[in-house]
Amino acid sequence: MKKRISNILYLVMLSGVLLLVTTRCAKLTEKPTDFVGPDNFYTTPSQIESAFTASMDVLYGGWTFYDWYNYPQVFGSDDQVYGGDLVIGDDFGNDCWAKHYRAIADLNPAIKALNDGKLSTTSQEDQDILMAQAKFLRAWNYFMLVRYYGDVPLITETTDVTSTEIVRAPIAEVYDLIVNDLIFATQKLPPVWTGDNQARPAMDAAKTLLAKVYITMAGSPTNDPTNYVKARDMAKEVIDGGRYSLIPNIEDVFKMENEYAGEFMWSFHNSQEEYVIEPQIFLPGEMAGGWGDVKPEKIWADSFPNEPRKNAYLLLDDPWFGTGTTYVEWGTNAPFLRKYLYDTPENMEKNVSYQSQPILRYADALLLFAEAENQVSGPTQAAVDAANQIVNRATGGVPNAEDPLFTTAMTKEEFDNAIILQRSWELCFEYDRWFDVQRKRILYEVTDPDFQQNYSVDDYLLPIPQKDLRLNKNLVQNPGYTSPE
Amino acid sequence: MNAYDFARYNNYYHSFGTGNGQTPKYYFTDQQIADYKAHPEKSTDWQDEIYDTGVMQNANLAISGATDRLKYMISTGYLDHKGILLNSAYNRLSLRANLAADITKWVDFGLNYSYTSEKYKSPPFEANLFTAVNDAPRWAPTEPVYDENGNYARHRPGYGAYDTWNPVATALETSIENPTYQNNVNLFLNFKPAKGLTLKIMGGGTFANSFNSKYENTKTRNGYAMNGVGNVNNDFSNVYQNTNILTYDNTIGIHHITFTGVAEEIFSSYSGSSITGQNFLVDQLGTDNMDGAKSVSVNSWASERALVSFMGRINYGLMDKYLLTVSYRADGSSVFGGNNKWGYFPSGSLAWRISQEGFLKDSEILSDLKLRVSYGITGNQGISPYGSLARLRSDYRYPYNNGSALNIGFGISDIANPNLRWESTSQSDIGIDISLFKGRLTSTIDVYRKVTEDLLMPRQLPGYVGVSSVIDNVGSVENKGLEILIGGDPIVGKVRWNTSFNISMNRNKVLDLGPGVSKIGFTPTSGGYSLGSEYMFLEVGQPMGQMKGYKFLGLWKSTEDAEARSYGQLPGLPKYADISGPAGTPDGQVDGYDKTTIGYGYPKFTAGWTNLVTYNNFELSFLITASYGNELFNTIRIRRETYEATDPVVWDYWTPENQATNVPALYDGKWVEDQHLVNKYYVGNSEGASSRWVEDASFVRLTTLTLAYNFVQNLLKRSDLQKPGYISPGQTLLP
Repeated sequence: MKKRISNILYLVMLSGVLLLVTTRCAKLTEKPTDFVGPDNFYTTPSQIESAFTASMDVLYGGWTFYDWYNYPQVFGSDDQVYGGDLVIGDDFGNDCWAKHYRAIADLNPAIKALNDGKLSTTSQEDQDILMAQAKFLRAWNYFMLVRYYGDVPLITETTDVTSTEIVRAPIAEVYDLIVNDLIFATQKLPPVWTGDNQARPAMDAAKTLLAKVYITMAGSPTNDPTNYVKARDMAKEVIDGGRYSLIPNIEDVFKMENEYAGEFMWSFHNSQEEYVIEPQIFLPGEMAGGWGDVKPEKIWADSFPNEPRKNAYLLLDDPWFGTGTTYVEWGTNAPFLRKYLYDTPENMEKNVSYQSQPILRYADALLLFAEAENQVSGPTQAAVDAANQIVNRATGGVPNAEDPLFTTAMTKEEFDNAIILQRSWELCFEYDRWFDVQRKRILYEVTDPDFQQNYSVDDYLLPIPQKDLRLNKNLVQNPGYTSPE
Repeated sequence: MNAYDFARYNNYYHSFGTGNGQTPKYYFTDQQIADYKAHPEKSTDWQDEIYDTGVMQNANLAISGATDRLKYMISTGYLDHKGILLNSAYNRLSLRANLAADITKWVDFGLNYSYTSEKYKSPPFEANLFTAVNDAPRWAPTEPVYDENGNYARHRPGYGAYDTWNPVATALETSIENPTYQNNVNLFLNFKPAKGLTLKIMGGGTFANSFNSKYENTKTRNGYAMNGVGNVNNDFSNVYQNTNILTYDNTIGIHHITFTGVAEEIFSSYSGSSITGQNFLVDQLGTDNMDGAKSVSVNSWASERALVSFMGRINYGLMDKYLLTVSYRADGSSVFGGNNKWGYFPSGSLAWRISQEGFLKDSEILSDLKLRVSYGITGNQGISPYGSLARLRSDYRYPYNNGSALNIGFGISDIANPNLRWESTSQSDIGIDISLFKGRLTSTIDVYRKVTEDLLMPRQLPGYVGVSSVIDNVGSVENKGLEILIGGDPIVGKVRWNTSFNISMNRNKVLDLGPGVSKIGFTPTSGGYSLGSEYMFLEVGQPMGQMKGYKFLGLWKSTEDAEARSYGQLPGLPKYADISGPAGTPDGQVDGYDKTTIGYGYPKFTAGWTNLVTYNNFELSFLITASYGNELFNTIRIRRETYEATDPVVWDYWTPENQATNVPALYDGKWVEDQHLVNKYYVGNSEGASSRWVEDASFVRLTTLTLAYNFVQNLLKRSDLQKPGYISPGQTLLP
């Protein structure tokens, strides 16, 4: 009996030990260790700015998107970028969609934090400048999206992204957001950023972008010509502001030392700490082991006027490596692109380039003004003067029959056509031509006759990614592309 | 492919490059081609250059002994393995010491300690750009390893795939050293307060530390571009575990009962840091001298996880014939959402030892026969911590302010998922164990059905969310199958043969993928640039491992000219099945509607056959494995057989005279343009996702073959060593 009792005693005692040992349960509640969550962030100006940095890195971080790796896929359909036969698969532009929304996802919480007063200790003026940058960046992302895809989901700082109610917002609604964000940016961005902040977008970048938005809204598919006046006025503000000017000599425009000079308003930048671009993308195989991924179409390059600009923007021979070759030997029998080959031959040889790539520059503002002014008032002297600044720089002031000066004697239509052509040359390979083709509805006309049979009006928009259609049944595919079953 | 064939094909291929206003460009002169033909030794076989025969050596020594109240065992081992890839090797030194002592009659104590030092080195072999393994099959055989000055050759522009680097340089000039040091300590106290009652309290930990370094010198591609790139990586992991097991075991007459109670907790913490340097002033110092790098970036990380478990189990045996087990466990894991930390998992089983019944008890033939039925639920928490929390990533870098320096970017990396919970698998199993002729022939047969619910995996999110996926409980899958194992000792005596054969058949099916979702797609690899969209799918009602894409019907025949042209194609070009369209019927174009199942990744059955033959001190063992019915998506072929053309199969291209081939015809580019074909193949970037690259992956293979000799066991026999040691060096593994 005694033995039994002691047995039971032991049992009780041991159970006690068991419990004792395990009551010191390791905590099951997770506390973040090496990361922060969005709720504990966006409380200081530098934290807000880190969101801007992230949003740009997504799009230009080394083989991400606008660093030209995927560029030909989206822009190959134009008449400038080699490749593309207007047979557009359902997976074209998957990355483009995902990357822009990724950038927007980084910007929205910053905007929300500013709206929610999380930076209450920062002055209202500084908060406005932060908000203006956030809205500028978001507007630019949506402006790219709405042109690629048409109606797109409108994700803002108040959207619950996991909601099952998300639909493609009509183009007009997307433009409302873009215009409102940009108007705020034009009012609150500083006139200039200096020194350490010179790469940030300033007021005139917002104005030029807004002018471009208006001129796009005046064309297809929205076709609201009342926007020409707004585009003209906005571009005129930039010109009258006098803060920017053309770099006088065409050979100097893309030189590395000029990346912040008077002409460049906002660009994708490389820093010396990290290279993003392999110049091999633009080089023919004959030079520095070039890959030639991105190069001009022969028809377009051959029609480029023979003038100093052709040598500055296009690569006709080998100025660096002594191969003695010219473009007739480079496979496509067409000039390559020179614009982004202004880094040193030593760096090219090493597969690196630190050159930046412009998104907005003053030449664009001048051409936007000339185009809108002509649409509003015909080829006035002001329109002619603006356009001729570009022509004169391109030709070196030497009259050139292939690139004649604009005159007030031109008809409105002649002037307009000449401007679009001038944009094609001056702004070539600057993420621009495809959108001109789109808003002017000239895809069939500019397409290589060998591919014209593949043209359809559906080609103006990219397909919505299959993944999004599959996961959100509210999204409807663009015409001409398949939907997952 | 040798240099002669490569050069000939290259010129031939380029002779068709006349589209888009181009003039054909020839990379090889007739003289060069003749020279390659005359001197086949000038060809470089790049695979041969980077692969070698692997050699493995293994030595072990163990000493053990016991006194009345003390038992001990010490063993040590060394393994050295030279890899088949140039400059790759693995070695491991291990030490183990076990000690057990009786403190009193009813308490004993033990200590187990082990130490391992592993060193691993290898050139990079991932399917990334510029790795030796990836580049070797794609580097032109016309290029030498070294140029005339003895430097690594860089291939001439146009003479092979451009995004590659000399594979031998990559292999030899990248130094990777990955040592890991691991200490494991385990202490236990065993209380036996009364008959049948034991309490075991165990506490221990595993402490591991690794110090990985990698340096790519200026002869490698990255090192060349960045003037030397080095990285050192320090990782610490500490895992603490406490387990308490209370057991009560008693037999009362014909009843045998065992009760087990377990309380356990495991706490793990991981931390580490990494330094990356670029632009080294002295190439030779590499990662041993990071301060010699002009540009240095650092990174550090830390994470923790905890698991707490309670378990109770009752085993009941009646007359040693009828066996019942019931158990229940509760597990709490830190990795799940706030209100879902705990999971509860019951299980039970019944067994009937038929051989113990009177009518079989005295059987000469049958030694054991057991019928088993079981049902149980198990949980899975195998995901990374913090999956339920919204997180920002801080590793974005972009010169937002100005071009001279990078700014730090914080961006959204994960959205919150407070609902994240345990994955659970309920399994029903019926099995039978048979043992005949005193165990010389045994067999086990099992039939099972497993249903996994709340499957833990990344759930894809629409692109507009800005985050590509979130770890979630995405659905449920079913696995059911049959497993048969037959083993035995056909020969006993001086020569012994022990053999075992198993075959298993498993069928799986996706049951559910969450509300409104019928399919989830994946792109496991982009296969170069040819697989732009998803091609692996989970689909409700279908097996896992399903591949989808365009069905390759071979090449258009000469007789199908008109039909081929109606699709914008020509005889000799790939023909894909036009299966459906918007109206559900073939529509004269190949697009997303025509994607269909082109393969399944899982085998219909797998089998294995192990054998061990011993004769004196010789031991011969071999394992044969087989798999049947699984298919493989061979992505490397896409590059080798299409645009990079380093596979000899490209010579078998289609011509009107050679139509029995799957290698497409080469057409003059200008001539094709002049046909003004309207392309109806809207296959985009996923033309690669076609059944042309799907292969039957069934195999039968001799997996291991080992011949070993055990040194005379008496060699170390000494009076104070009761159990002699054992050494077996010279073990050789054949592929």
